[in-house]
Amino acid sequence: MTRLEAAQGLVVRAWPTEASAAVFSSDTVRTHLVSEFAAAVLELAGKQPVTSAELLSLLAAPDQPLDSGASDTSADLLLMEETITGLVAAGLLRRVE
Amino acid sequence: MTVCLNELSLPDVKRRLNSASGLRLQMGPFTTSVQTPLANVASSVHQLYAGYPLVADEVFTDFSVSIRRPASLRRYWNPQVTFGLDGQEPFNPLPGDQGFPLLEWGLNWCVYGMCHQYLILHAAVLERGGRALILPAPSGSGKSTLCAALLFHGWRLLSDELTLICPRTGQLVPNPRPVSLKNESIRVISELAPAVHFGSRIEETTKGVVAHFAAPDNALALVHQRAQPGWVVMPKYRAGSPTLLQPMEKARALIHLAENAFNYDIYGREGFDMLGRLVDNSACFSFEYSNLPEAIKTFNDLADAAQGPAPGGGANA
Repeated sequence: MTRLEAAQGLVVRAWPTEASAAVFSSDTVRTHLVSEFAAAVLELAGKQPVTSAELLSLLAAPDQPLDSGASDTSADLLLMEETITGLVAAGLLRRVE
Repeated sequence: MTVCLNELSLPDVKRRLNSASGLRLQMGPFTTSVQTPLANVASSVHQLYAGYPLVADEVFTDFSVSIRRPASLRRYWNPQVTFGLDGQEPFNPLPGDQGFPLLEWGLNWCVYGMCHQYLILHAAVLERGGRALILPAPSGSGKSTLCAALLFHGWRLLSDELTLICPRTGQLVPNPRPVSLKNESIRVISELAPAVHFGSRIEETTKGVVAHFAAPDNALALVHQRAQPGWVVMPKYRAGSPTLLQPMEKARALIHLAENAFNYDIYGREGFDMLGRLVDNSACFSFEYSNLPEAIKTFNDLADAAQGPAPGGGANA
């Protein structure tokens, strides 16, 4: 099981009608543009380490815009993995397990 | 009673500039002492800072700057100029005719390098109807040309280069100084506003040909009147482009503003929140253009459509 932890002091700012969100990391004092799904991941990860099951539940949530293609689970999983890889590369998340 | 520089003769200005305490001027929120023995710099200061208030010797000075010849033998065959701040010379010297542009670049450096009481963006900022139009963009984007053109069509200059944001209120703080144009923009604005008086054209600077014109009278008269955020627009001049104003995501606008901030790292989380509030209170767009009259009409239409009191209204400093 993959567990992820957000960098400390992570702040997400998102606007309801927009597909992107802005994320500030106080560790790096940098600001990143991320997808709304990534922002949801970060918000969750900001509270506690996140398991892959929790991430999957995000994908299944009906109010997530990226869930519109939820019937194609493999595509969603791929998107989630790419998002996580991007967040880890940006230093916004780190793998803990 | 306020006495402005234009009440002094050119010989008086030269004498003050060459004195130990320098010529002391109020430039927006900053008090500056300028020293130079150079006649061409003195003439430009006399012309381009004519409407600025003089400041008494006992008033605290934010910056004491100078433009001088470096103390080297080179002065005898290839004169140069150097910028000084409190006796230090932070930059390499430039060719001898570039004294006034060097003074302007040096003053900008003083503001964005030291004045962290404001969050500072590399952006032009203008005001109309109490609302500020912020144009963040790197050099070569057409920002300065657009800013200069709007000044002659109903907009007030807050700054053509540095946007100062008050952390406490989120308001935009006026800091009007001479407007700097480069290369082709000088001809474009000369044709658009034939009455404008440029100072000396300086050739072969690192930015090409540079010329300045004085901040308009209304910018100096309303220098204490701050503006509320209104619009954040990322301009881009592209030859042959149709005029294209497109809504931009606020998250994306926030990222652009952060990338164009000089002291974002100093403000950290507070800066992120400040820029978040700024884009919350602004309509955000990208803007591509090649036709300046069409660009002016686009922004005037934008301002006209937003008529009514600005949120919080204009406020005095």
